[in-house]
Amino acid sequence: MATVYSTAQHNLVYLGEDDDDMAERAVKALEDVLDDMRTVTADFTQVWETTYGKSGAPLYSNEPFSASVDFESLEALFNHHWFR
Amino acid sequence: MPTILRQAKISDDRRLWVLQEAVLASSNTCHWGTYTFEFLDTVRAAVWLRHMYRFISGSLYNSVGLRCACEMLEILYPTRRFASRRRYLANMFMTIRRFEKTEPKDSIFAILGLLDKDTSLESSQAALLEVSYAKTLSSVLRDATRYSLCQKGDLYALKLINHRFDVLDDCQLFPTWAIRADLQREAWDASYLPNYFNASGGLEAPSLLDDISLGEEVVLLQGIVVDGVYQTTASWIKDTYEEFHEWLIFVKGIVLRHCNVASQEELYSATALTLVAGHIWGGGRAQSRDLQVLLDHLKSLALDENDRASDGVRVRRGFDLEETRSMYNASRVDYCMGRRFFVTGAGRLGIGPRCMQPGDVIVVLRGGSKPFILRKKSDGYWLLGEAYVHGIMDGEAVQLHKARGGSEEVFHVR
Repeated sequence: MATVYSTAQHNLVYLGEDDDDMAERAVKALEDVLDDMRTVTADFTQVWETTYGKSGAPLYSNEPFSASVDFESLEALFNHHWFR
Repeated sequence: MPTILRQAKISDDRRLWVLQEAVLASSNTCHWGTYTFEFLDTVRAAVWLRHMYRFISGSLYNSVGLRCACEMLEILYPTRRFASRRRYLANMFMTIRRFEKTEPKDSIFAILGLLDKDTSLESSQAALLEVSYAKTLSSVLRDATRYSLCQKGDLYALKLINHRFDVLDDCQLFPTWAIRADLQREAWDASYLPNYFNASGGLEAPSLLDDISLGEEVVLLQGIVVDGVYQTTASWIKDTYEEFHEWLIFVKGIVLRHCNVASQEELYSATALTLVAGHIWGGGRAQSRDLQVLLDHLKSLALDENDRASDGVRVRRGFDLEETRSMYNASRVDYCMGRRFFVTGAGRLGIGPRCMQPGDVIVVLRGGSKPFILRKKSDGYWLLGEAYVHGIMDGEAVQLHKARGGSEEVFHVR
């Protein structure tokens, strides 16, 4: 199995049907989250430096999101079986 | 040609395998209904949502999928910080426990493809990781644990030992030192104690981890007996401020009853440092001055109606949500969750595993950065887990033991 996946150039993760019409909203919400993240982490080059302290303990932001984010759709996405 | 990872209904069976699938591919795209998005974006967003936890809903923050997605990013895109993640099985255990798995043996088998190939052990020990569904779950976990101990040459992996009461009761099915990678991490499981201690400083490296002369069920741990557990509080389990307040009153009670130190100030300071396992938010060792809020809070807690604060601090009669909350936010007391506070025979203070009890033994072991709690049994010891014991986290117990001319023991842990 390990060989199959490591030799594939590109994998498609099939999450299933979008029965509750959440996918479009989730795609938009992901973009909103990533827009903020991109700004603060210098285009994703400082992700770990921003989210973890020197000793490895997680750091949490005191600055809110710059725009409102559709958390309901993100919850639906991460509650998807695939991610667990 | 693209490989279709799996249909959702298949993935219901073997959850942990998806980690291996995602990590080993050079790129991944998610398809959900008619929409398509990058897998990398999804796991990046997860890490950012965790970082923004003060501004997201509790149900999103607590969702297992979000935590797993964060783990995936750390494994997928290792930086120097996470470079050792895939090198050691001991580190992989922490990841494994976040994911669901319907076949318990897959907790080990499904991540073997992720271990760096260049760090595998010589063939005799590599056999410990042989994929065989004919082996019992107990021996799969036992052998993987021994592999992880031998691979690093220290006891780092044993930080994951955290028995539930019901599991300890029938623990003869599983050696107490075998890491239960098959059990999913639960919200009320204690968080891991910080790593930056050196309780065994002054002892040599362990030399018997691969020794199975007493059987595969027994691991031989070398070290010294330091102290004994005299009394413990209940473990703090429920995550409300009011329950924490009640629990702190118990802590203060057993400290004042059983510890006899000249300076009360010193006693409160030791209690506060124990409650935060010697650490401040964001990491780093705490000093007494970092814990003023917690110190004041402890001093002001009333044990009962007749208690008076001895030093002029206002005595708190009951529960004050705002004050408890601000104390909680100022001090990193969440190491107490899922643990017991205890005092030792020698008057030391500590926090340790939920299954410990009076009479258990506190030891410092070769290769262990923190002290461990053992339970003496007729044919050896049970391993109950790691503890923070104030005053012996930097090798002090080893120095004292050597100064007294004490020798080391070999503990037969079953």
